[in-house]
Parts: sequence; structure tokens; C-alpha cells
Amino acid sequence: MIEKKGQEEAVGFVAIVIIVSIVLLFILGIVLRQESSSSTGSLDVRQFLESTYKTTSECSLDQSFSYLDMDGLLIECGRNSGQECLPSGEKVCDLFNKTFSTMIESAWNAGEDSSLKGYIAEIYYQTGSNSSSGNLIARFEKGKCGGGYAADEFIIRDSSSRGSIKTVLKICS
Amino acid sequence: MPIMEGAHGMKLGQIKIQEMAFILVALFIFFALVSIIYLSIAGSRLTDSVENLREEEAQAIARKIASVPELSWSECNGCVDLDKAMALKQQIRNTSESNLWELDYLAFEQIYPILPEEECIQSIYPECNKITLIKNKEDYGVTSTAFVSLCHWKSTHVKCSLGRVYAAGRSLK
Repeated sequence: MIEKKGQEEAVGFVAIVIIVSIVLLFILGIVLRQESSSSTGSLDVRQFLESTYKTTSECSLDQSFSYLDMDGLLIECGRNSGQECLPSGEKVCDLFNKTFSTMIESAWNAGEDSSLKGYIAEIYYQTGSNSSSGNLIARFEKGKCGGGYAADEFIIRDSSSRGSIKTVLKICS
Repeated sequence: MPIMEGAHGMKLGQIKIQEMAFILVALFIFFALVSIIYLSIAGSRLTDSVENLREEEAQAIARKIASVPELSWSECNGCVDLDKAMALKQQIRNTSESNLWELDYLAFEQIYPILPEEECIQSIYPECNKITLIKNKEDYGVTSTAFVSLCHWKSTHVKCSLGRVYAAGRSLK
């Protein structure tokens, strides 16, 4: 009887150890997956956005051909999307979208054959009193995003409307 | 009989104590193993954080180099005056200054708009995409890089482009 009881206790102990091990491994897996999926703000991404919006576009709104910077072009796109650029005649929003996506492609070269697998860029318009993320006004996406990434945001103030435009760029590896 | 029963009871007690001792030892070893695994994973995450911080610090220094008075565009932060850079390149060549800012390598490269991949010289500037100011040795090691705006005068207007600064040297380590 005593031997049988000892065997029962040993089996019970082993079962408890196995169950606790499985639970701990499960929790460890969840914790590690969360760590690899997250990333703090990226200085490189922020500097890219800052420099991108200072870049001179190919759009002028008057005959003096004083070309807008990319941030000015985006603001004009928000104010009057039907406005046409000189000298190309393209709509301001079309030119912004084309230029912005080309700049991301040129700078990051994300793709299947690259170490960077994709990117997602989202542009939001926020009113002055809106403390949430705002209204999504443009989205650029390429490739696959899953796992590690570098991301940051850049805010442009629109003095005339007292709103702001927030650009969030996520580069995925 | 009572002695036998008493003796039997003592043996049973000793067995129980031994069982408890083995269980405690096994539990201790189990939790020690779990702690070792957790600490090794936490330690490797800390190493990654340190590496990220070092990289960001080097990026910040690379950008700061682009902000020195000899190279900066006065009207915006993080903007490089390409005309100044070309003049400085010529000056460095003429004076054979080799220890500027304790750097072994310093160069600017334009990313957008896309230009011919050529080293800039006076005869083709600004239709070229790279200006190498300092290159003290062929093996200058790993470069730190940061996004910057590259600006110059185009007739009567300012034109800024998206570019990168590359720097390597003792001051960046």
C-alpha cells in the first residue's frame, strides 16, 4: 500500500511539473512575440520624414514658379484637391502621392529581396481640439508587415486651419 | 506488536520526510532553471537595446556634423548647403587638410530627385549625386548615416532634395 501511494505521489508530482512547464513556455512565447512585434520611436524614420517634407516639389501655384516644399504641397492638397500645379498641370494631390511614394521607395528600397520587407505610411488630419489620431487622408503600403519594424511620426502644423497633419511611417523588417 | 507498529510508523515518517525533501530539491532546481532561461533572454534584449541606442547616438552625431556652420543651410535645421560643401571640398583638396572634425570619411549623397550616380566636380555640379569631402583611408570602417536635406540655389530659387550624410571616424565611436 505504501509503495503504491509513493508511486501515485511521484506520478502526481511529475504531472504538476509538466503542466507548470507547459504554462510557463506558453507565457514566455507570448511575451517574446510581443517584444519582437514592438519598436520604440525610430530616429532614422523621423529624420527621413523631416527631410522629406523639406524637399522642394515640382509644383508651383503661380507663374513666379516658386515651388512648394512637400509639406506645403500636402497642405494645399488638403485645402483644395482640385488645384493644378504649374508647369506640369498635375493635380496637387496626385503629384504629392506620386512624389511621396517615390521618395519612400528610393530611400528604403523595401521589397521581397531586401532586408526591409515592406512599409506602411499613413497620413492623418487632426483638428486643433482633436486629441485622437485624426482622420486618415492618405495611405501608402508595400510588401508585408509582420514582426519587427521601425516606426515614427512627424507632425506638420497648418496655421490657416489651426489643424495639423500627422504622418506615421512604419518600415518593416 | 506496539513496538513493531511504532517502528513501522517511524519508517513511514522517514519515508515521508525523504519524499518531501526530494520534492523541495526538485522544485528548487526547476525554478532555478526557469530563472536562468529568463535572465539569459532578458540579458539578450538588453544587449539589443544598447546596440539600438549606440546606433541612434551615431546617427545623431552624423546629423550634427551636417549642422556645422561650414556646411549648414542657415534657414533650416538639418539642412546642408551643397554650395558650401562643394567649396569646402575644393578647400580641403587645396590645403590637404586631413584631420577635419577627426573624421576619416564624410560624404553626402542625394536620394531624391534621382540624379546620375557620379562624384560631384565643378564642371558637372549640381547634376551629380555624391559629394565626398573627406576620405583619409580606403578602409574607413563602418559609416554612420542619417537623412538630411541638401539645399542649393537654382537661379533665384532655393531647391532642397532628400539626401543622406555618411560619416566615419574616431568621434563617432
